[in-house]
Amino acid sequence: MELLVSGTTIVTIVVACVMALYWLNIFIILYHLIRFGVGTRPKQSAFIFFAGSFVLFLFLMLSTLPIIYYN
Amino acid sequence: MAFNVSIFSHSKYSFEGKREHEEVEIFLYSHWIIMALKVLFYAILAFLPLIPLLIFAQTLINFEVIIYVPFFLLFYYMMLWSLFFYEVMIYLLDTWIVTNERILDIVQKNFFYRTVSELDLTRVQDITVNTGGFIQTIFDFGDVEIQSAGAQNKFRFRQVPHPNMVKDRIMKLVTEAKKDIVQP
Repeated sequence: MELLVSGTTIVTIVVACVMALYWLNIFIILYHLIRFGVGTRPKQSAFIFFAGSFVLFLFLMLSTLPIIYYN
Repeated sequence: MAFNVSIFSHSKYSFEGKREHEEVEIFLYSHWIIMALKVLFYAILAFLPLIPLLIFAQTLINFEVIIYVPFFLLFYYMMLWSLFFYEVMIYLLDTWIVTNERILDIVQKNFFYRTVSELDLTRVQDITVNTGGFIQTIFDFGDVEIQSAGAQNKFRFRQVPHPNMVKDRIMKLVTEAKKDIVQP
């Protein structure tokens, strides 16, 4: 019972929900660019967007390591 | 059967509903300057958090909260990246396609609001070009309005590059399309 209401758990759940919404947003943008885009430019943009999103997400996850270690 | 899956090579413009013998004659996005202004806006937003960070760096170190800064900074950049590419998506999906048979006006207003309007070339009555202001004149972009025969609203190509060339090309296509009707 104590574990369920701890601050760390709540923060983790909130961050996980935000990340899920973030990836949902990425999926929707990629879907629109690939499905409705005409020519190569939308597809190139989709590739750049996905690559950048993934790299930023990776760095974000890495940035949590010092926080976890410090706490 | 060989097929090219590279997204970096040139490909013919294929769109949903394209007919078998239809050829794309004109394919337009809004002028690049529209996107350039948005890029500038997002670049400013990207540099914005660095200013207070530099000013209060020592304070953050003293209070031992500097380890949280990369997390929040990266989170901010992730959201900014998503917002920017939402704008890119709207820009790239707002297109005008003129084929040898019809004109298509595709408008993407937001994620789930998309309008596709179609006008047969033989129904085009007149075309008007509007270029207003210093920026539009210098960079040669403006609106092209196409009036159809009938109760349909005008088709408007908004802030497209080289509007006069577009107008001339469409008029030529309309003449050819109407000639085909008279002399099939």
